[in-house]
Amino acid sequence: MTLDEINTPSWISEQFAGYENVTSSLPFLYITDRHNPRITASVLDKIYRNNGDCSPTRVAHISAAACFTARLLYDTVLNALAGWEVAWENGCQNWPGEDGKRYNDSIDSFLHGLRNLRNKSREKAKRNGRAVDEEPTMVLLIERAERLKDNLPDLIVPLTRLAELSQVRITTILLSSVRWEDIKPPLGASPDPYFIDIDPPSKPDTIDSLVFAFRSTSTTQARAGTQDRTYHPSLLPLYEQYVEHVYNVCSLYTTDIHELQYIAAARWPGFVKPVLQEQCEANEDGDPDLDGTCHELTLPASDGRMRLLKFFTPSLTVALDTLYPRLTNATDWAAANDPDMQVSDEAQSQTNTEGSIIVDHLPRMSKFILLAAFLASTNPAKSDVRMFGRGADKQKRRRRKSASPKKAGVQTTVAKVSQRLLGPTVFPLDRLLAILGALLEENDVENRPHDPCFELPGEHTDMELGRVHIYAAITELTYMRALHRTTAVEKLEGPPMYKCGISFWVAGALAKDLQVPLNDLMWDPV
Amino acid sequence: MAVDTDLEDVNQTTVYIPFNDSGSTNILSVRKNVAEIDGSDDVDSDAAPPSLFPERDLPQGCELRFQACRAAWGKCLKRMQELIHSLHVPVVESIVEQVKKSYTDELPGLPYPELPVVSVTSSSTSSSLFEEISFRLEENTDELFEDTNDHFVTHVFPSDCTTITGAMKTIVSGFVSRSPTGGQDIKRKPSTSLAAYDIALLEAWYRAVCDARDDRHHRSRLVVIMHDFEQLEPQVVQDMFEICSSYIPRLPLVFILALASPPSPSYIRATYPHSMLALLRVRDCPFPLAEKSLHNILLETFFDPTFEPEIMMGPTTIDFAVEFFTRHSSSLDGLLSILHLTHMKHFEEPLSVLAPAQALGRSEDAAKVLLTPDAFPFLNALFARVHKSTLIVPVEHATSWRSATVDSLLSLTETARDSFRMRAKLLRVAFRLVLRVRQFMLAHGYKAGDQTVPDLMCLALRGRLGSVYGYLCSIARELPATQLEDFVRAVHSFFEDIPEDVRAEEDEVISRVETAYKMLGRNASAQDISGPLGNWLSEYFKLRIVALEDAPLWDIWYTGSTPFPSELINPSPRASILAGLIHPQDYVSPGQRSGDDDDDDLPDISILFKGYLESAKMINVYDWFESFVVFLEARKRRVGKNCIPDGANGNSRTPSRKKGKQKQVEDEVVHEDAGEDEEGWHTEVQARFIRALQELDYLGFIKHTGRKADHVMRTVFDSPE
Repeated sequence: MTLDEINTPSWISEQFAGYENVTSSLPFLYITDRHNPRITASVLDKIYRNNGDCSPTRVAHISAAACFTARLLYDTVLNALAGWEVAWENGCQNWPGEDGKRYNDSIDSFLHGLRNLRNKSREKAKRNGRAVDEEPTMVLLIERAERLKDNLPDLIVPLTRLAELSQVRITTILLSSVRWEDIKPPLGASPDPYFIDIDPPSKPDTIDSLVFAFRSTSTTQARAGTQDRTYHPSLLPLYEQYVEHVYNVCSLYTTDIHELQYIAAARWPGFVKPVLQEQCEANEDGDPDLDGTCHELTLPASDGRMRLLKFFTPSLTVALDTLYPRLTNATDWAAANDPDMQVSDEAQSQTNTEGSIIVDHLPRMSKFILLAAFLASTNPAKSDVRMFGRGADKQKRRRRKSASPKKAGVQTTVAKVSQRLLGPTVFPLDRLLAILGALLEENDVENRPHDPCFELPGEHTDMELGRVHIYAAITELTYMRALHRTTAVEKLEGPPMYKCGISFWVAGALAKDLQVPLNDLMWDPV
Repeated sequence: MAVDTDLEDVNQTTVYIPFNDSGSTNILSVRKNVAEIDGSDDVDSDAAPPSLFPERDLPQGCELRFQACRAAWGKCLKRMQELIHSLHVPVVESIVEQVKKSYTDELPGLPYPELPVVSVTSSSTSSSLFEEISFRLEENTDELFEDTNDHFVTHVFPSDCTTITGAMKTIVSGFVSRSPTGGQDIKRKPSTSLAAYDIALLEAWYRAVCDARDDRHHRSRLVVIMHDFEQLEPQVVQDMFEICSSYIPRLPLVFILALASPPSPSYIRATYPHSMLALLRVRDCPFPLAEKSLHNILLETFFDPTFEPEIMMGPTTIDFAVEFFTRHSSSLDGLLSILHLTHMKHFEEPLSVLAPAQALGRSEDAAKVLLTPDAFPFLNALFARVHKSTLIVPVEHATSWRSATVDSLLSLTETARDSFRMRAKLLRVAFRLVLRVRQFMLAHGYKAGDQTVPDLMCLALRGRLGSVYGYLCSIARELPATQLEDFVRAVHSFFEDIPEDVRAEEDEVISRVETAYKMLGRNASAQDISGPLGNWLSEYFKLRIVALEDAPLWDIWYTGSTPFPSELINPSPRASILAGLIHPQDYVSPGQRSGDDDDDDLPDISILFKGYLESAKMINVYDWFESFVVFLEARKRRVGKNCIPDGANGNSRTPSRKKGKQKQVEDEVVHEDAGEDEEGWHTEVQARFIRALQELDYLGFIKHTGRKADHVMRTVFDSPE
């Protein structure tokens, strides 16, 4: 089996070399792939679909996440195994079988459907003059098998014993990123599977598959007949070097093939642009042959390549920073970081990395509420009086537990983890309003219009706190999920409880915007 | 009557119970008239509310003012809605463009196709945005330009998506319910066909659609608009996106997410894991900043030379609107409510009936309305105002009042109207020129103050813009030759765009600018042009930017510095309830108040509440009851002492609740007369105590903890004194 035939990178098919025959005779396989289950699934799919010549294998490749009900699973599997194409014209009928019964109401009818399918293909084989006893092999490949446990827990056992129950030659393959032990039904109800563990790809493997992806992209591009020469086949050696460089830069943070390919694809058009431009100019000087697709492109010499790589290294880390958390998408990033545009500086400032959180969009009161919610969720309730109380002694008020650990090594007690790292705690509405009042009194008095009817200090703030729009803003923030309401809306007993939904960084940005000294107000400062 | 039926109606979420029966018709009719202003048509104009200023109002004043108010607000609203709509247009266009280009402008070489997702933040604008989007996406534009937008749109709401089955069913059936061929729908058997939530069904349908339309390039997109995206269960959304992404590009699905949260910090990126984000290609469709849109809308509605609002907003209203917008809720709908309220408040004033041109019809009709004895107070007030104003030359004062007729009064009002409108118009034009000059200076790197546009508006309306334009003109005088040319051109072109009637009024400054413009052509030195030009402009601004309050009868067309009734927009229910409990007398209309001794009038709940405020955290209910009894006994004694034997004073007291309190007090008197029925009195006091306690409980002042026998807990501790 050559590489082109199965259309997959070699390293992964090597892992399956020789398995094809084994797998078809095994009733139940469990493949664990913690790294790239998606790639493994597509490889397996292709393996089974491509060896159709030697033995009639029928494959159903489904995802356990997509088949969220039993009926959906039965329908999808049977239609796929039968090769039945659902058509709108006949009312989207499922594979009818021979008796026209429904096969999707229970596992029994599903098994019945499988047997029916076997008989049908046997008849077909007989008509074609093949041996009668040659049973068609069926394969049921279930991707994301861990989802079976949530969606269809009752079906795990029957699916793993499918061959035994249906008396059909069928192999069930569960492909998952978690171990079998984690989804195994209790009491040994399922037979032990034949395990295959997929190793993480090594560096050459990764580069191989990326280069392979380049080749398939260039064939599809050539087939589509585009004038774009970004993926011209003769650029392959340059791409190899480029990909290796990308791997070296990014492998510290991610070795996921898809992620690397994503970043490589985003940067490649910009990277190769100078090379192509040079070619264009050379072409214009020489013969004006516009149909450059069949032309061989001359690649830059090694020092030119080194210069290119060096020039683009900083933008690769930028790409990793923004693309890996998907702060923007590859298409837009590639457009924004085009080397010709000379806008790389602006583009960098535009992309909202973690460092620059913009909080312009909220009304001022909502910002204060969010800040108060953050403080209520991170500070312990007992500390409120000390943190927000207006005592006579300002120094004392700010006294808080020092963040520095006591003498190292002396105490063996477990160091207390900061609440900021443990996640937000729940607080009642009253506490939120009280903290909000303290914040407003300290930081907002100058900003609000003066009202002569309030003379006592704090009276105006008190009045403002009771206003309808404060409650409306809290509800709206809950609606935006910037606050989480933990008690049911119908419950009238007791105050409603909330939890803060913003991160420390957002709170920091809000505090900066409102000029509130956030660190002074936190019990456990950073 | 209406209240009773409303109370019976289970569908009614809120019922307004009027303060007392005799007043109820009035209040209800106010509500009807408010509805009338809103544009609803069931008008009951027979019953008008009482005027706030009966001493100088017309008998039909209310209806007339309602009509005027409706017309004035309608004009203002129409303008603002147009402006808001124009804010939507670019966003809608960009979304349509993105939908059209999805699946075609993909970057080659990506590991797998990504599901296109457009996220739109829609908090500050009205919800009609998504209707516009889906309309634009589904309309069939001209085939000739290959610009067909015949996509399929389906809407998903959070209530449909509590489970993944429901979510998929909504999406699939949203599309599939439309017949692909336009003919009769093909019947599907429920048992042997694909399930209604199976995305394979959608695929089969889409194939049929493409065949039917002969659409080989699969140009139609399947657009799913997800409303209130934050409300959707994240787990469901993840599954849904995973399923959908496994079917692209066979099914060209495009998702439009309607977010209420701001684009930064992003809700999507904070909530969903990387594994899901990696499947999507999220693009944000940003709205212009809400604050900027607000400034723009205010400017284009009240300071546009070509648009004349019927009622000019005063600086206090503009201030309040901006303050409220930046502080509490950045919603343009809120802005509309504020301006609506201002209009309604403005038309409370009896004189405002004269706001529209020929308000009372032609002169004969007007005379018919005004020449009745009932209308005399109004005429009198109008006459006094006209004579105090500068409408009549002082010399004529002595004689003119003799010859004053309704006609002459009305024509004087018309004169005042025209002069006010022209004045406001000239102010607008001058203000726009100030803004233009300021913008020019800012663009050329001069400092021009950090006031926002609404700040400048307020200053201009108060006639206090002097320092701003003075400074700008002083810069203009010093402009170097290179910038001067642009400056003169800018000013010159500004005056070319103004309406014809203003141009006639402003011919002096226009001719001066013309002179400067011509001098520019004759290569005069920069100093010779800029010096006089700066002075001319300064003079012009000084002449035009004056407070509108100086015009005669200004308060008919201008809200001036009337404070905005902010309690109506942003009330404080807690404070009102406490105030109501402590000072119930303040909520009784002045005519019905009686007696100086406050304690005699207190309803039971207020008596109880007094005790509540004085108690500790836990209240012993029995003690509370005892104090209540003591209070009532004391009052009973006092009443008995003051009581005139015929019981005539019974009608004059405690009108706060005709049926409840007043009867109680009367009963006390009756019981006094009856004498010995000690037991009956005791039972009554007990019943009244329980009832008042119940009311406090209902208001949420009491918490039954059960921790201590006979005790309840206080829930409110602030002393509202």
